[in-house]
Parts: sequence; C-alpha cells; structure tokens
Amino acid sequence: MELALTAEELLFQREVREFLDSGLKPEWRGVSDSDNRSQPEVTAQWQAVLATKGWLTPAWPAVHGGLGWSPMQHHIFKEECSKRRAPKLSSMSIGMIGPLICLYGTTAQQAYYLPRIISGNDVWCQGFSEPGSGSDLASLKTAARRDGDEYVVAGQKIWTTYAHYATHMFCLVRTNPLAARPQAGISMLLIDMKLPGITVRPIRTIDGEHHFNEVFFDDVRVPESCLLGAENQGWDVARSLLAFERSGIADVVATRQALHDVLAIAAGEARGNGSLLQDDDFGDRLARLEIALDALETFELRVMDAGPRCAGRAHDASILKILGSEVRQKIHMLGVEALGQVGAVWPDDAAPAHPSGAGRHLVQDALFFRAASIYGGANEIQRNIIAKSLLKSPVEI
Amino acid sequence: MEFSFTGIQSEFRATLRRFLNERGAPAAQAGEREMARRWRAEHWAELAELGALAALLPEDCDGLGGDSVDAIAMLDEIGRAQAGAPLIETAIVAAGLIGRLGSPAQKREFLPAIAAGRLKCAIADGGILAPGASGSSFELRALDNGAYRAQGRQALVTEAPDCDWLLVVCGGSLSALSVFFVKPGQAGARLQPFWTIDDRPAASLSLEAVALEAALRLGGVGEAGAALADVFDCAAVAQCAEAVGLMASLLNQTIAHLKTRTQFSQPLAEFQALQHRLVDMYAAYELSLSLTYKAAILSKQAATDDQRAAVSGAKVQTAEAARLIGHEAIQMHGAMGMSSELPVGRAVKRLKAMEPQYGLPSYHLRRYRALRRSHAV
Ligand SMILES: Cc1cc2nc3c(=O)[nH]c(=O)nc-3n(C[C@H](O)[C@H](O)[C@H](O)COP(=O)(O)OP(=O)(O)OC[C@H]3O[C@@H](n4cnc5c(N)ncnc54)[C@H](O)[C@@H]3O)c2cc1C
Repeated sequence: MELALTAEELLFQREVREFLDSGLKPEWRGVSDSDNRSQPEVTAQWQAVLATKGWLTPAWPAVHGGLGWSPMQHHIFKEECSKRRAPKLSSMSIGMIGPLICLYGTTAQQAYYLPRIISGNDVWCQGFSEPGSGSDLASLKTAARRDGDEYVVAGQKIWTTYAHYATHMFCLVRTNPLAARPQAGISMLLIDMKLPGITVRPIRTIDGEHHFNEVFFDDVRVPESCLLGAENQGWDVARSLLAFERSGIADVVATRQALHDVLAIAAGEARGNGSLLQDDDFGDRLARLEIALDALETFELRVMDAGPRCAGRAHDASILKILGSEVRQKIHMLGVEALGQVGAVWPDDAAPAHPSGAGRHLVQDALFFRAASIYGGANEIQRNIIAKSLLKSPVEI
Repeated sequence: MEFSFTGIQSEFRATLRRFLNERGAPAAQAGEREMARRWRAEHWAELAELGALAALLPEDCDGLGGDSVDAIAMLDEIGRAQAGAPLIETAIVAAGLIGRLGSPAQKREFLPAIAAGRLKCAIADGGILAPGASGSSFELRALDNGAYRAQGRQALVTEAPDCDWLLVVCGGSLSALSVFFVKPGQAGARLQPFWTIDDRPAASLSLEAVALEAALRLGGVGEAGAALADVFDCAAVAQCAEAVGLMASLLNQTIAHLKTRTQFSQPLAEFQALQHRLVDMYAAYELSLSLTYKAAILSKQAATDDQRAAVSGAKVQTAEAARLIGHEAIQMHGAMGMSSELPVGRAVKRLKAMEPQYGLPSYHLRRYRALRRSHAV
C-alpha cells in the first residue's frame, strides 16, 4: 500500500500544472465552477485552448483523439483543473455523447459529429427524462414513428439542462411500443435542435437561474442517419454511459473548494472572543464533515486503483454518487449557516455582501446542489442498486 | 498509489483467518468469560508460532520488521473472527515502546520473549490522552538517593489481571513523561480485577509509593512523550483495523439474516426500508476502511501533521461507523439481536469497549481540528 505518486506521475503532474498556469487565464477561473453559473462563452474559449493542446478528450478511444491516460493521470488532470477552478466543460458533449458516438457511431457519424464536438461548434444536451418518466426511465413515451427514411418524433422531454444553448440533443425515443419489455423498444436519436417542430421552454430553478427546460417535439422529422446504434437498442447504448465516468463522480476536489470557502467565512465571523471557526460546536461539525470528505477522497482513490480488477463492484459508482452529493450538500448548508443573516439574501449587487467575499455565491450553490442527490440517478435509486448488489450477489465484505 | 496488500501480507492474512476459523473464536461460547480467557491463553502461543506477535517487532530482536500496514492486515482478521486477542497491548504498544525507548539490554530481554508469546503486557497510561489531561495520573517522586517512586490511580487498565508486566506511564506533565515496568504483584501495587463488557479481564490499579527500578525504566526520565505519542498512534490505527474487521463481520451477519429471516411471507431483504439502511451501514464501513488504510500508509513513515490528522480522522470515523453499524445490526436482527447467544451483541460490545482506547473520539476530533487549522486557510 502506497499513497505517493510515482516519479512518472509526478512528472505528469508538473506538466499539467505548467500547462494550466500558462493556458488557463485568471479571468476564466471560477466563473463557471459549479455548473449553475455557467458562462458558455468562457467555457468555449477554455475548450479551444484544451483542444489545441490535444487534452480536450483524453478519455476517448485513441483513434478519435484519446490519450490513453491511466486512471491516475485522468485523476491528476481533473484535480489540477478543479483546484484552479477551471471552467467546467459540457459533460453532455465531451463526457457523454462523444464517447457514445466513438463506440456506437457509424464511420459517417463519427466523421461528422466528433470534430464538431471538439471544435465547440456543436453543444449537446441530454433528452432522457419526461414528465411521466424520471427514475423509471424505461417507461418513456416520446414516440419515433418510421416514415420512409425518416423518424417522426412526437412527445415531450423535461428537465433538459442547456437545451437553450444546445445545438443537438441525444434523445431516447420509443420506436417499438409493442416490445415485450419496455427497455426493448427504445432507440437513441441524434437530433438537430434547429429542426422544425422543436420548442424549448425555460424552467427556472430555486437558485433563481435558468438551467433546464421543457422540450416539445411536434412531429419533428429526423433523418434515419441520425439513429445511434441499432434500432431498439437505445437502452443498452444509454446504459453503457455508466461505464465511462467512474472517477470524478464524487467531485471531491470541488467539494474541498466549497469547504475552504466555509472555512474562510467562519474564520471571518466573530463569535465571543474568537471566530466562528473556533466555536466548539461549529468547529466540531465542520471537522466531522472534513473527515467524511477525507474518507470519501481515499475511497475514490481505492475505487480508481481497483479499476481494472473491480468485477462485481459496479455499486462503487453508486456509493461515490451518494456520498459525494450528501457530503457536499451538508458542507454547503454549514456554509449558509456560517453566513448568518447574509445567508438569507440573494447575492445581487444591491444586497449586503459577506465581508469575506467568499460567501457571494454560496447561497445559490447551496440551493443548486440540492439537486445533486436527484439528478444522475436519484440517491434512493442508487441505494436500491447497492442493496441489490449486497443482497443478491456475493459481494466480499 | 496503490491500495492492495502485498502477496506476503495477503498470505499472512489468509493463514491467520484459517487459524482463527479452525480454532473457533470464543464467539461460539458467548458470555463464558473464563472460557474465553482460557481460549486466549491457549492460543497465544499458537498466535506466536504463526508470527502474529513477532510481525511488528524489529528484525534484530526475533521480529519480522512489519509496519503499520502489516498491523492493519492482522488486526482486521482479529476483528472479523471476533477473537478479541489482546495483540495491541503487547505486540504494538509494549513492543513499540521497548523498541523506541529501550536500551539494547532491555530489547534483548523483552522483545524476543514477546515474539515467542512468553510475555504479556498491560498499559497503565495514567489517562494521558483523556480530554483536558495535563499529565499522567501516576505521579513520579524522586527520592534523595536518586531512586524514584510512583504514586497514583487508574480506574481501568485492560488485561492487567492477565499480564506479566505493567507498563506504567508516570509524570505530572505531558511534556515530561516516563515509562517504567512494574510487576503486578510488586509491593504497593494493588489490582482490583473486574470484567469489561467485551468479556476482557481488566482492573483498577493503584500504586502506593511503588519503588521504580532504574533498570526497568524505558528511556530517560521525562523523555518518553514523543515515543508514547507515536506508539499510541500506531495502536489507534491497529484498533481501527480491528473495528473495521468487526464491522465487516456485523455486516455479513446482518446480510445473511436479512436473506434468511422471513416475515409477511417474504425475506426481510425485500423490504426497502431495511435495504437503504443496510446501504448506509455499508457506506460507513467503506469510509472507515478507507481512512484506516490512509492512516496506516502514512504511519509507515515518521510522524507528520498529515499522518496524525489521518489517524485522528480514522478514529473519529470508525467510532461513528461502529455506533451506526452496531445499533442497526442489532435492530435488524430483532429480538435475536438482543440474545447473548449471538455473536452480534458481542461484536457491538467489543466495538463499544474499544471506543475510548488510545484517545476518545472527542479527543481525536479536537486533535484533528487543531492539526488542520494550524495552517492558514
Ligand atoms: C438540476 C437537474 C438537471 C437535470 N438535467 C437533466 C438533463 O439534462 N436531461 C435529462 O434527461 N434529465 C435531467 N434531469 C432529470 C433527472 O434525471 C431526474 O430528475 C431524475 O432521473 C429523477 O426523476 P424525477 O425527477 O422524475 O423523480 P421521480 O422519479 O419522480 O422520483 C421522485 C422521488 O422518489 C424517489 N423514488 C423514485 N422511485 C423510487 C423507488 N423505486 N424507490 C425509492 N424511491 C424512489 C426518487 O429517488 C425521488 O426522491 C435533471 C434534474 C435536475 C434536478
């Protein structure tokens, strides 16, 4: 057992640091570090710098621009980016649909879509959830009826993040309503958002922002060349997404940034003769969360290290998801508590700011990350998955 | 970075597991204290033969030169088997103090005997890790002729009734601690034996002007503080590993029970309310295991702030997880969980008895805070 990085990993870490110190402009840092204050113009510029360096798509297969990094190299890269609050790239484009097209796309689809994702020309959104189908996604109803060499899509998606910026949507649709199992009648379509018949309507969230939307399909005609994978195999295509992103699910580094913000706020908040940070009760609660975060960080490293040998431990990703979201939510809530009365005001220019400056967006973040235990497979569903693994298959404990 | 045990460590674990399974740890004889005590006495020599007592001792004193990762590999198995073998007191704390502070002659005298299973120690630390402690509860008195006497009391010293030597920590200030060997039967030393809830022998110890021999002092007078801090940290990590092993055992017992016990015409495993609570137990276990690994890895090298924070973090996390898992394991077993016939309750009691040792969770939480906040944020 060893925690230290190898000599090669240290060299790589230095290379990453040098690149970030020169390539990542100071004014880009932190502008969209938590999804909820995303600034697409900044993200696009950062994406271009990464693309020029060749580091935009390290996890893709080598033939499509991947770098064959080890899990540790990916981890180091993500960690260093996160530490410098680099803008978050669109996980839908780079993290999800890119790899799916590499895996399931035809040569023509790969030649068309992949360069456009890398150049930032195309930005994707994910059309899975529907009003009647959330956790029970396989019950989705948006229909795609074959008509000649086109699909005619009719129905509605909801909670579609960035549909208002996106040029394309990867969309799960029902192509066979009569299939024996609901999962068997689903296909994945790559839909151009400019096609006639698509309407995007914003839905505001409790943090006062506009992240997600309703998307209506009114007999939208989608060419059959936009089918990804085989017809009625869409469920398997979507499920293979789960395998890509095992590291980084828990977003430990970002949570550590949030913790540092809370420390800074508490250190500047007077209590008795000292600061809130020295207050026994508050300090103990914060330390407990910091210990939980340390534990989660090491657990994430263990999962990464076990990577290739982790057969039968698919539930690790679910544990990372649950703990990552829950620890983060608790840290945000403690931050809001530390802000005192300022924790109850919208952080706009007229409102009183917290002297530390660190609290400015914390309230919004705390509200937004309430969603972290809902999206990406709600935590209750993750608990179902882990329980099944513990109770139905022999997990070695 | 890597989290697997070496081939040798895994083999050693497997051997120890086989041994403990074959011998049937005293879990089977629930509540039979004397039987459990005999079991431990009988198998002490066998544990020594397996190398469990020598594992962490220096190689030039019949030891195998193992480190903190070897220690957790071993103690995890002790925990899983609910063996309650008092390895930590003798093979980690006593051996660690002798190794760090002892003269060459003392090392030659005591360490091979420990490795061979001929010598057991108990640690009377005078409560130096108690919250707010300013020193040991055993006072060190210098006489005019240069000799020393010890005076004081400690309410609970585990394994004291069964030990060959007491290692007594004396000194009224934390910066000037000394360690002496004292024979349990020595004039002025009084043991009041009793049992702890995990069926381990313990005693309160009072020392009335007990004569301390210079030859039985470990290191210089007042110079044991640093060694004690390091060795207690090693003990704390090892103890976390034993706790993690016990938690694994409780989880496995609970899973087996949920699968087999039927109510309302279905196995308990089908009830989602229980499933989700089981998942929380399991997550707490994985977090504890993770911090125990981290603390053990960092403890392979000399102490640093990061290493001490990791040890304290592991202690806090493990204690919290132990409470959750222990409580839920009993709950999910229903009335059966309350029966002294079942190993569940014994594991829960062992976890509870371990909690205050080598620093209460509250002590470690405060130490963690102090270490983390000593750097500018
Ligand atoms: C900020 C945000 C962004 C999102 N972005 C997108 C996006 O870009 N694209 C997209 O397709 N979707 C997106 N979603 C939707 C997200 O995938 C769904 O919210 C999620 O799948 C849960 O579905 P639901 O909201 O319909 O809740 P429901 O499925 O109705 O669940 C409601 C509650 O019941 C619980 N529950 C449901 N079933 C069970 C069960 N079997 N056992 C126990 N408890 C259960 C859930 O855990 C949850 O707590 C986003 C959601 C949020 C909050």
